[in-house]
Amino acid sequence: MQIDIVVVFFLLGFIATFLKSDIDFPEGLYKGLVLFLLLAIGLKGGSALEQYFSASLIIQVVAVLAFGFILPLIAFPMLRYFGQLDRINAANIAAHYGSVSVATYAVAVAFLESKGVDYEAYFPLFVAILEAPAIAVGILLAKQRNSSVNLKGLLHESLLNQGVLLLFGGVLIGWLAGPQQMASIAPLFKDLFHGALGLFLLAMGQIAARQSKHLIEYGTFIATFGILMPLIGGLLGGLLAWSFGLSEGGTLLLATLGASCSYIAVPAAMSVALPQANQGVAITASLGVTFPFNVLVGIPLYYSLIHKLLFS
Amino acid sequence: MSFNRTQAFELFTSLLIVLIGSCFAIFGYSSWMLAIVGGALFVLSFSRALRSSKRRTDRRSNTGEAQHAN
Repeated sequence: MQIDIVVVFFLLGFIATFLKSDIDFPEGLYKGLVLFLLLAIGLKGGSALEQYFSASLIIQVVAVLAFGFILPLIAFPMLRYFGQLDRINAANIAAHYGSVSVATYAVAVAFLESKGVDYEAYFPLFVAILEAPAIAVGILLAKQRNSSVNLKGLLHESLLNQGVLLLFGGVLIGWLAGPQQMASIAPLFKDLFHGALGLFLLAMGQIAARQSKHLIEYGTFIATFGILMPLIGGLLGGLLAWSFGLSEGGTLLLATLGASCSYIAVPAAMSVALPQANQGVAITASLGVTFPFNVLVGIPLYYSLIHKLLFS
Repeated sequence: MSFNRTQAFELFTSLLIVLIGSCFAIFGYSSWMLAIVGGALFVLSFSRALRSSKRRTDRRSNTGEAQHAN
């Protein structure tokens, strides 16, 4: 089994932190890399959007949006009934698992590119679309029956968070600029993408190792849920992509999006909308369990299943 | 030995993951890692469930002894 080069960066960060090494990754660089990756992914999708724009794409967008609403509704009852979590924390974690991880998506893209597998280039649009619905569903699930909902705040947190804004912004800029103008910024946003992703994953490995230490504190339920939910989301995402008739690469990307969970946009939005929720549990589940699982086990597994079951 | 529903969920899910991972691996898919992850989860969940069951039994026997002494 050949391991993808960007995943090795993740392992390096994880092992180094586990062995208590003193790699000091600057906070500013980490934040800068998040901005870079969001914009780079958005621009790449936007520049390819024109050639794919059709009625079937609009149908896919609506279905993907519905998918984003459904995922937290699957996670919530599991967290409430089996995890015996209170309503607010269950809704908070459900929102994390209904949303998507741009880094996991980027790892899946790097995986496909290393294998030379094509995919639909408009996928960043789906990434942006899937960021928002889960936040709204999570806030609605957390509200008690008789309590009112601040619709303005809810819309603001769902639609104007950093992830959604930069991804949509990137898609829009890429779409308006077109492939010719995009060539002028390609040396930064295209050529450096894999290197920047490797650096970002080094930091993610460190964060994941730190978060996984908290697993003992929160119990094995969070670990079990953090493995089960990506399998459910990945299966549903794969089936949705298959029903669209997407390519092998596109099917893997939608399965990966279904399997991934947010750790940037949703925690920021939910800490404002639900300040009483324990963000530590959700971050531990998403960063300490699901992200490493998807990067190390999930993506190669989803690809193997998709390749052999649907495309051979 | 009895399990609460969280423990039962953990044990059932981890066993299911082992089963799915092993079955797919036997049929040639790269899913051994999934089976290993499921196995690790099962060991963790089972040892925690065992410990909490033992604690419950100890507490019950201590309460019984205290009542008997009174």
